[in-house]
Amino acid sequence: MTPPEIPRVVVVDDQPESVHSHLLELHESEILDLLVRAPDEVFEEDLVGAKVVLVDYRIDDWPGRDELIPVSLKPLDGLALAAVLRSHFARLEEGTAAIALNAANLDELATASFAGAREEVIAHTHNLEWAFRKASGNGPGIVRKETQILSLAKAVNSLPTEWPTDDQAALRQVTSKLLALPVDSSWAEQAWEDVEFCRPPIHEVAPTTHGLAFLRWLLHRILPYPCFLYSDVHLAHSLRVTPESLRRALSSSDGKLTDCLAEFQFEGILDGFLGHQWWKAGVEHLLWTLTEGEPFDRRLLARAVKNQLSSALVPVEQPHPVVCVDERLRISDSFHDRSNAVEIQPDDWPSYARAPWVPLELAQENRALGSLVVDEDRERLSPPAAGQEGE
Amino acid sequence: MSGLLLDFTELLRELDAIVELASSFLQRETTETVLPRYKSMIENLRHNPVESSFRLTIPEADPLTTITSEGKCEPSGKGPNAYATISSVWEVERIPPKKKRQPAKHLRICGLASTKVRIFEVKDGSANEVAMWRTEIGDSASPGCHFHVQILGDSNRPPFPHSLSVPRLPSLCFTPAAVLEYVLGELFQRSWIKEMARKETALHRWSPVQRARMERLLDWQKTAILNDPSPWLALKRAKPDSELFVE
Repeated sequence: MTPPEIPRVVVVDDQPESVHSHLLELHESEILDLLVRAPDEVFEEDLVGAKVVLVDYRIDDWPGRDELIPVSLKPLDGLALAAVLRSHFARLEEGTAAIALNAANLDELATASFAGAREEVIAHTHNLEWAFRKASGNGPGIVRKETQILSLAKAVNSLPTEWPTDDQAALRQVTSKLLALPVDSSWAEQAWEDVEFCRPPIHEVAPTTHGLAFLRWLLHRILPYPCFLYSDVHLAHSLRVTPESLRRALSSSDGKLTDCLAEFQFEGILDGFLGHQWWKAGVEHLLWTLTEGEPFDRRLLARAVKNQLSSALVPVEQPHPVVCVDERLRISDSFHDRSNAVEIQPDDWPSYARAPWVPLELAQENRALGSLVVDEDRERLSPPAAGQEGE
Repeated sequence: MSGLLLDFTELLRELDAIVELASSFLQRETTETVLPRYKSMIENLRHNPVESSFRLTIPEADPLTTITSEGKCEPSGKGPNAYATISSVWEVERIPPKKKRQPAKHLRICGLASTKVRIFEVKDGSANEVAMWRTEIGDSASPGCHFHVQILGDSNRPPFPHSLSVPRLPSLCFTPAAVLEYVLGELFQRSWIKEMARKETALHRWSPVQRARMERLLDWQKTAILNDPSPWLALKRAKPDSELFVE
């Protein structure tokens, strides 16, 4: 069946009138086919062809549910309803949809009281593709929610119907196409090795889930973390420049930097979902080329960045900068020197992603963060008070 | 004996880091068996009291083995096809911790501390040894640089027969892990740098240990040569304090 050109997005909300106006604009512009339904009004034909289902988290106004007595017929919230809808999708022949939560207060679902609500962790924990906040933020670096929803819908639309699991070469081709891996580039082989290192679920799981497992892998394990793709912060770190200056330079009218980096920009499915990202292998190739094989020579790198990329890029001061996360485990814009930071191991951080760091001071002040510090760095936290050493 | 103290945690950290950094350049047997076994020896020594000295070994019969460098020992890529094996014997003693149930913090080198590198050239399907050297830590009575390299010296035949213990060329690396890094840098001139640049997490564990150690070594050497009319003789005679590498 030929995928429809305009992806369908179904929104289930007990207050249908509250649906985001930007989504309605996309519908009016025929970029999305938007169906808005109250929980009592969702029927099978609404799900047919849907690519994204956005389910309200708090469902208070649901008369049909409230009239029933058996608890098994009373999904209390959007998480439960999402599970019900997913079970119905499983019966449809026409493929499946990404199911995402839409919550006014995502922090209620935060998995760690100190870390706040990380969308990818909430989605991963609750069998969802994503978790959105009803009021999406604005500002530089923040991707608009309707952009994300559209990206998600297009991604579902792009998922292949066939996964040639018995043909390694064909499987690689399918995956490379989905990720838009530039196969003719000199760093393509390294990029593919990096992808494989991150264990894409393409052999067993993707085929049995209509490809949704692959989408989830990207959403939950790859895009939010420094794996085979780098965010602007990690790109800045690689170039040893401040993230702020990189963003400024990229958005300026001087196209030299953008042109240089264009070759390495990720353009596969879900590109832009969490902002622009770049292939790690491509960035490493760039560094190698810029420094003519001396990537550890800081002065050479700084000179090359200034002369060949952009003079507007501001070099970082730290001799050994590391990318840190803040107390909410969000990647922070400010680098710290390795001597003033410690490595942590949060529960849900993929083992194949670059390890996160926190400022030493923060780990010393914040006991919860301190408990995540890796063994090798633990002794760098403040020593225990006298009399508290164990036997 | 050397009497040099080394930190258990540092030795283990550098082993973990080099396994991750070097995995693409090592034979599978090395990353899956030889290095884990060596690490396990160090961990056991750290956690369990021993009556006397102990030999930390990477046996010559079962050494660390690199993959074959296909011409990459020359930057042009036109060098010979070669691989290396690394074996090691360190006679050490565990320094008991202050509290018995805690793991030990330090070990002391109390005898032989030798790491042997052998280079094999691969040609027409067979491998022939073409070079060998030993990186060693001297003892309080040994002539020559305390941290040194000796060429060959295994057999009685020249060149460098066993009967001739000179020259002892100064060396900056002496642990098996550091020697491995050195060898990989030599066999894979450019691709080793490239690989290190890719593995930032492992590099963050590797480089602080190596840097701190090398800084102490160089600072000690600098101090040693300060007032002697022959800096070279001063360096040759200098014996480090046993606590050179520990806090």
